[in-house]
Amino acid sequence: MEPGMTQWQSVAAELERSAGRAIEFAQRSGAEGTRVEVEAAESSTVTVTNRVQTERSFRGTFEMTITVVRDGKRAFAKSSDLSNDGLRKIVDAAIENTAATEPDPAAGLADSLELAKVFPELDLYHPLDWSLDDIGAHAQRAEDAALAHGPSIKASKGVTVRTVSGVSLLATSGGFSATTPWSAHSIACAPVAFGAGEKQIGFWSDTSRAFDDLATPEEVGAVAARRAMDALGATQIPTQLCPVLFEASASVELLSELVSLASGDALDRGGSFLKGGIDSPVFPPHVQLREDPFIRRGMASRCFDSDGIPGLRRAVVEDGRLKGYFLGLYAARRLQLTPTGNGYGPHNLELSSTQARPGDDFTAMMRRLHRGLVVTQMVGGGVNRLTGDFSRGAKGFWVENGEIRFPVGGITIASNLRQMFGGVQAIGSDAITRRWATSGSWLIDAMKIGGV
Amino acid sequence: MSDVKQARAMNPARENVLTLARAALLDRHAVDETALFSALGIALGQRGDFADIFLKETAAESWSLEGGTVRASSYRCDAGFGLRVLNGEEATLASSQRIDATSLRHVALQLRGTGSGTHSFRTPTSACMQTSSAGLCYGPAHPLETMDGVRKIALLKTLDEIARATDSRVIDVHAVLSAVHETIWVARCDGMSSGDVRPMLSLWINVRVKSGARVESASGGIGGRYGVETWSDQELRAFVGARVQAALTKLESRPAPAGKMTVVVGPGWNGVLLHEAVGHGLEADGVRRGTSAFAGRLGEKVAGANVTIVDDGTLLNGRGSLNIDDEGYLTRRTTLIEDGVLRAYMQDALSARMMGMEPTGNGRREGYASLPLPRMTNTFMLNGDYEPEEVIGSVRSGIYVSGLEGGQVDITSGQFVFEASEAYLIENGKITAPVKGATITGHGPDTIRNISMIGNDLACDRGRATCTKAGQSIPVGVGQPTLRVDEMTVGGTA
Repeated sequence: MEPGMTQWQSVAAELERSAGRAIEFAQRSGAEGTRVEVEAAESSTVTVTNRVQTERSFRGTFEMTITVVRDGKRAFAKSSDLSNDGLRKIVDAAIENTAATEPDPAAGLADSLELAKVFPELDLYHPLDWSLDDIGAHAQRAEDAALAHGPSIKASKGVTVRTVSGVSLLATSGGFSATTPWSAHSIACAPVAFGAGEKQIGFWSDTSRAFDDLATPEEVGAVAARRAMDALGATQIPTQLCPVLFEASASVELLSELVSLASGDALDRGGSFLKGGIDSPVFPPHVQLREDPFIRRGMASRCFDSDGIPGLRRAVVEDGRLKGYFLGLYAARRLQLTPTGNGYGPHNLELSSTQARPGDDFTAMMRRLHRGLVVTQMVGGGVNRLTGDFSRGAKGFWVENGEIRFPVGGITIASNLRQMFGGVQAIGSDAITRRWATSGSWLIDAMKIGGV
Repeated sequence: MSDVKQARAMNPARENVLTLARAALLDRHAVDETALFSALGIALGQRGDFADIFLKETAAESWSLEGGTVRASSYRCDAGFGLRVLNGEEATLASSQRIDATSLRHVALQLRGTGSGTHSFRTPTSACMQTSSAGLCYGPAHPLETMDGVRKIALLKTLDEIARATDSRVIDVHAVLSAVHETIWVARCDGMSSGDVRPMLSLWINVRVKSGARVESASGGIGGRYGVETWSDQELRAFVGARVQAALTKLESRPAPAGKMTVVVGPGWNGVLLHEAVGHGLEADGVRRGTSAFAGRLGEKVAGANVTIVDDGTLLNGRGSLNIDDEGYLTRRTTLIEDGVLRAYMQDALSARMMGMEPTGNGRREGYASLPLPRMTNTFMLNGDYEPEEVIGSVRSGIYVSGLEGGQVDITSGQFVFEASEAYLIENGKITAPVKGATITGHGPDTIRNISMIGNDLACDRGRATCTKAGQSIPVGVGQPTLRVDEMTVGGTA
């Protein structure tokens, strides 16, 4: 480490030198444009299962991805070997592969006008300097809380606490070079409740940039245990059409379907029914979706994407109408649209309703549901993005007169995403954040339940 | 179905594979067995009761065709090792991407330094290389080098042309050819030291068709542990033709029914149903922890007398086959359920030790930085007595599933879920109208009891299954004959 530098700055300086050499090798081998992404990360993970630390691991990783453009053709190569020989090997592989592929008008690097010029401080780097024993003790607190939550919690599939910190670098032959230090910490808990001839698993987790922002292990353990216990005695319900309330943890998954449909990859490949859908009504007019790449400590905050293009603070859905796609440079060029800085995916998204009131918590949402299905978790199944056809397995509760009557499992829920998005009656104020998605619960007017 | 002995007898070149693996992972990095066993000894310290080291080198390449052209390729290489120490059930793993004697010692000291207790050097009892008389389940082909980029692109273009020539409603073809060449070496503190060279070639295709305003697609894949020369023209034509037909059929599909009904599941790839419904629940980690719905039921009758399910890591060139598993144990054929009786679980070294059973060659890991877990290899059900037509003919009203996707299981509750992406109605014993994709859900232990008829048309999938567990993805094989399952829940909209 050079004097006066923090550890990440010293790593970043080393990565910059490696990236510079890779770019030099590629340009000398005939590339007209070269882009290099490097990620260096260190992670420590402990999983506690029934009071034993069944996984204690630490790993340090380097990975470089190089993209070369030569004669208008593009090739990628990836390696963990940042020695000169290692860099030459992947540069040669990429250059050689451009000889075989066909010219691609969308292949080039970003224009300098498109590149990020300002780099706001996003406060993403809060490494945790704990030993595996410390991390294990933290995980054990969550498992203890789960096991203490009720007599039916007799085992656990594990509590995993993971802490990762690293440095990402993007450099191009055009002179762009920027490093981003980052960290991510997570806790996930999966206790098992035992009933009469049945077992049910509960799952709860949290993720944060700074360890202090993470939900306490006691909270995660208790919520996971409650979810397992609440599912005991789950039964199928009759096949029927009924309204469905998606708990916030399930509604963020529906939001991710919207993102997939509006992403450059699906649009470019013609694999989305939202192609050509800008300005068309996707949700009812009360629904709003905002994206903000610049939230301090946000799990999906970044100053620029894989091509150095900054994201936007913007409305993705305004008054129910789709206002924008999620486009990286390549897909944008293929679609002849302007890139939105989403080459690494969506940034922090928040779904809201102009009709939501502060008191619209989950209990209030169940009163609005009145009689129907609450979905707490979806499993497997599939979504056809070409047609919007939606059919997945689900578990949750049956609600009558606004109150939970009994747990439900082993059923399917089906509809079409166009109808589901269009049928969002209300969005709760019970918002949670999972990765890049923040949403409250969704009340959807009608879905087909497959049961007995 | 290839017989174990036959598969091994056909490949008598095990010594050659060991030489290749040793050259790639040990000799090239100036590491020898003395360095490996010294690292194991340091890592064991006083606290550990088992240690192993896993070295792996990977080179992978893929070519992708869309819109009739191959616009991109990718290449990836990686190498590293993971050192694991067990203390009872407690597993500690540290890994490095630098393979050399210094790094081995550094990682070993890191491991020795964790946890409590006093440490003293303990040398392994013996350090002899495992030489087995067993043959190979696949040879050391190098699918990256057996064919250059130009030929690989030509192959993809041929697929595109075949698909477009099959029907004018084909509007696009997306095809990806992937080649992987892996070399591994494992050394255990009990003195075992061995290696393997693992080729993998796979071809995935998605065909999109359009009629009027309606667009549908169908996808599928073939692959296995071999070089590209294994695919004949005729085979490729049949493979692409079947995907075009599946997509065209979907253009005519109507909404699927909803509710509980009889489902006939077609042969081959649909063995993923058994993989999810039964297979995961028979992996020993969930069993010994009591979190699997099949825990503690060895010797019990769990299915009808006609049901026999095996896991076989030795199928010739199979996608899930391994010459040795990732803990250095020879793979084998394990009968999991025999004539309806639960006979065995799939074991890795740790679970086998904890349960007082033999390892079954099912210890697998995604890479050097992941812990081994008990995992499936090639898992399939053996034939029953019925002609497939008899199975379908027995159903008055239900659905016939020819293609499944998106499987998932919760081994604790036993509940599993699939998407029937290619399915038809069965009316009065006949396959009639195609239906849209619908979720199928069931309870694993109930589902195998509800298998009421088994066809005599066992087929193993030709190689597209990838299984993910605890965040680790590995290739597997699946297979089954035509099955009639009563009382499954189908999630259509009609």
